[in-house]
Amino acid sequence: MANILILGVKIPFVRGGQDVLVQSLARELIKRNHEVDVVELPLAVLPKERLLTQAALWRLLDLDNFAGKKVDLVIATKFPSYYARHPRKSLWLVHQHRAIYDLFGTRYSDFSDDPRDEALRRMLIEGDNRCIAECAYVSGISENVMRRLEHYNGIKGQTLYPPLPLGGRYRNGPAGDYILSVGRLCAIKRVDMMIKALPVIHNIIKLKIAGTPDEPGIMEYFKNEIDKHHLWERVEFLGRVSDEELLDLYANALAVFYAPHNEDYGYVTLEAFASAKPVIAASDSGGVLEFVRHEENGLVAEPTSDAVGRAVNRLVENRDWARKLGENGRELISRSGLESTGWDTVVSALLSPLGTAKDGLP
Amino acid sequence: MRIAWFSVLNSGMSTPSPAAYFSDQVLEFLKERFEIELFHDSFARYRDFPTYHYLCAAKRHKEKPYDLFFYQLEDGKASYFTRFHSALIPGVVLFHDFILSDFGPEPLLNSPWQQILSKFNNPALPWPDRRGHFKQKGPQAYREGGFSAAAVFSSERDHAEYKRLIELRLTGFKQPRSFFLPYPVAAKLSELSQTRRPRQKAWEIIYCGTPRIEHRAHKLLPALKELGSKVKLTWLLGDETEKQAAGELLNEFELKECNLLSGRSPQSWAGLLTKADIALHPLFSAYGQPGPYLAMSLMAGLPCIVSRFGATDYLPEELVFKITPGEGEVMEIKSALTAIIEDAVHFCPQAVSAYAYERHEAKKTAGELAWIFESSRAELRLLLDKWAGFEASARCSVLEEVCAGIEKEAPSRVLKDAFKELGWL
Repeated sequence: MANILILGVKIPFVRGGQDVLVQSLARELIKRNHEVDVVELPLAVLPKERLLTQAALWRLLDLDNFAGKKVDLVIATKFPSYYARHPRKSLWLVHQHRAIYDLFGTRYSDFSDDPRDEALRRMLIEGDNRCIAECAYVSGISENVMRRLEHYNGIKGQTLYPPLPLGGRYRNGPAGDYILSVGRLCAIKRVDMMIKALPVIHNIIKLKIAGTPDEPGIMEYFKNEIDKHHLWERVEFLGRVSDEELLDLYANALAVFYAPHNEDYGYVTLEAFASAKPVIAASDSGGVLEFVRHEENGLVAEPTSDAVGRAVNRLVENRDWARKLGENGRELISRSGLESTGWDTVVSALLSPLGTAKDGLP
Repeated sequence: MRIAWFSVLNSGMSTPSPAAYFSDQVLEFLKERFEIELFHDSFARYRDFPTYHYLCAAKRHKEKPYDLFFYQLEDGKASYFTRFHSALIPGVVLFHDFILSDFGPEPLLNSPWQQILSKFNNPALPWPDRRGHFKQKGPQAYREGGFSAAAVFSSERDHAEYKRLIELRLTGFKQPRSFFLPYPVAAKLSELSQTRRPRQKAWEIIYCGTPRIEHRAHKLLPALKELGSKVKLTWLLGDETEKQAAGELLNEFELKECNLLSGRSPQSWAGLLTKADIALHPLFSAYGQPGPYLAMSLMAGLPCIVSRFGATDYLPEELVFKITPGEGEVMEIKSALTAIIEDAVHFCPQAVSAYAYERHEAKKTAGELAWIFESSRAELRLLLDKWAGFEASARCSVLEEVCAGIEKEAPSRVLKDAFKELGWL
């Protein structure tokens, strides 16, 4: 049994994959008889100079000992939690500050050519290189995340896919007449691409969107697009839904749309497959494409509304085929061990700096 | 001399960019004289050159400094990274395009580039406000031209525009050195001008423009229609979308004798030159230029039809057939083609090829670029040193801003100690 701190980064009022991952990891470590707690600090990305302060705050934390309990291991997850100091630090990297790496120079980054922005970017990269190199064990949640770490920072590590958050509770139901979208509502998730595809999709198909906005103006933008194309009867914003509601939504969808730009991992992909539903992704969706295979368990379209619309129509017009694709996705999940047994691998690896593979399994 | 070479690189694309083509032609010559490392927007390798993602350049420069940064800039999204980075660390910029169809990658919409250039030349000026918006007088590359430590152009027209328009510069009042450097073309193509293909029934005409209005297909096709079976057109296009649009134009002008090919590239054009009798290179637009294709056609000694406008207006009258865009364009094209077919004008393929050889031969072009690098070295060294100082002051400004905030809210040295430990102070 070990005393373990999980280092999480919280964006207040927003819930996403990071929160699910931290909670799931805590639960699984406790199941294996470890003493676990979560240390979370809030992160504000604007103004961007504050990133230095926030990284430095993590650096200042003394995580050695609390109330007589020595902390045996810390597990860092997302930028800037890995700036924390500890003699035994594991990293399960969700992502770095992507605006200075793969998103740099794109519409998703606010770093311009101002020399101050460039100075800030270089300082953050220096900090990342230094602090990640301190980790006794380095891993990431997908091949995509690890490739970025190797290419941009020259640091290699292992891929540890996070198992499904709801374990074996996913179920399959008869396909209804809606496409499901799940996730935070922000530009990079590109839900607007699906909204704009609806005019070319058969009229009977609706779009159900589960998730809450975390960018200013995003809902106004979506509503403008809906008004422009008269889609009021075809788009439904569900907001945050309970686990049971989510399971039902997956179970009865025709397909799941998940086509973010260069995604880190994408729980949604695996949740869709666990529910035996095909996934519509884009050719630049990053980690999602480590699971979605075109015309095997989903469709990979060019990242345009027209292409997405044509992909959806293929599923609408051939429901048997859509069901088959979903079944193939389900089979992938069964083979992958990502429903429950995957946690043994994850825990064993993350705890490796402790020097033993003991994970407290009964 | 160590050179950081920023360019779109040929990774087997069917329609490589002028920058990728340029790199293909000259790098093999230049690597004998310089230590070159390549930077592009990918992690793929290029031949046996050390090749890196462009975001690694600053780190590599810190570890083992380069003597010179070289950027190839062209219109289009593929070149966004060179446009961006050319203002992060200045260097020699080769402009394949000087008139650009957009402002570049979106983060540049907040670029305070004018104030940055002003502050570089006058350090007493304050740093610009963070909430600025990109402003520019026109579609010309004012920002990129301003940041170029030395500028090279593959179009004489663009060179003239640069000298006329760029006033706000990294070099202050002193106009930086600027040069015209033609597209490099492999010398081997000149052998085609020495051979005379046995005349077939129809004259083989080749054309590589897009179906868009600026490439004048809507004028060429009716002219070709009037010549009937005397001519046969082979049209080299980009992707399937272009091919479809071209097919629609052929139907519109009822032209049946035409071979449509996709996969436009200098390699595929070179293949067509071996069987061609005439090449068409009209272009009537402020944007774009004929690229290496016209240079290749001239090197092969072909009679070329070009527009009396823009980049091609500079070509000698006796070596090409110039057409004035506008009302009489179809008639002029037909007349020019008829004159060539009926041998009504004196045309010497060897003279055309010799001109192209003198101007475009790849090894010679590489040699001229090498001279530009070597003769710019000392001046660029001073500029890079000054730029390094400027970067250091930018870093101090960021830290002052952050630390001022800390001291205001929580006067303590604690965070400063963390900054020092992380190597930021």
